[in-house]
Amino acid sequence: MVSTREQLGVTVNEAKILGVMVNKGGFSAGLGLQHTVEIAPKSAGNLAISINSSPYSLKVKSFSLYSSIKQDSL
Amino acid sequence: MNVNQMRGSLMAVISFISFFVTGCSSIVRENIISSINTGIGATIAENPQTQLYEVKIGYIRSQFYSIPTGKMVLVEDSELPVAIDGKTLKALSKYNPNTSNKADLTPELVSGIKVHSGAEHLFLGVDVSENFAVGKEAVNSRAATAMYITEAQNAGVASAASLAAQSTLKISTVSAPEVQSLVAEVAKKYSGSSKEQQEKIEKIVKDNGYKTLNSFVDATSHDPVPFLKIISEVNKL
Repeated sequence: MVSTREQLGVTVNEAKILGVMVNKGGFSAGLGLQHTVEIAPKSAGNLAISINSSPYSLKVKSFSLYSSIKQDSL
Repeated sequence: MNVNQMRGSLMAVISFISFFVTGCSSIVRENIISSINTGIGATIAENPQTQLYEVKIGYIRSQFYSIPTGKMVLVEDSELPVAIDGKTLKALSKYNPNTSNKADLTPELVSGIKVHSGAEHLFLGVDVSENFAVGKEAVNSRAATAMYITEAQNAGVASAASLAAQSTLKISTVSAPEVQSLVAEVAKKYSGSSKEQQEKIEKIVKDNGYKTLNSFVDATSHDPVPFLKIISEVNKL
């Protein structure tokens, strides 16, 4: 199962594998989890973001910069 | 298995591995990268640290974090020969203006990463919790504080984080266009209001520690709590 969340400058990629997977990172076989977060500081600008991954979910929350309001924007 | 069969098998394995090795490309170093790999099985993958391919078998756990800097050791121009031995690199860096030794150039960043795994996670992966505040304003913002408080393990930690942030936090108007626009909105509302309304706005501003409306508008930095109180109360009028 592959989950991807993307917004300007932020990419969250998560792959849960049972079997075989080939991607740009290489080759994996078995049972596994690959979790990658990539933030491009130039395009992301000012950003406060929280990422939570558990075996059953992947949540990405971005926070409004000048208040404490949480936004589930992704 | 005869010698020819063994050779054949060996060649197949080498071809398989070389498929990945020849497809090798440098990891993107200008981005902030957080990577967590865990599992049971086998992998043939590039080690992001050494950029060499590795074979791992069994229970595998690897974590990698990379924060970019201004240092460039390889040439950016694809037409120039890129060599990996030290001597050639040194020679290239001498003549190529694209290389730099500015390792101190890093993005403003506060991050917290927590990985938890227990017996219950043995076959289902791990719990990963990551917080990132990227950029000058984000690092100093209430949002970053709120984010860390939200993720704090207990109330004591949350309140300590909040107090620490309150004591040091300032919102700079010089480099924060959003703050400037909020201040401008208050000024605009004031100028377009009735006298009674103007008095109310002045009172809100004074109640929150500013001598006059002008001192609020002209301030170069604001304490976040009274500032946000003013914005919210003026908006309610």
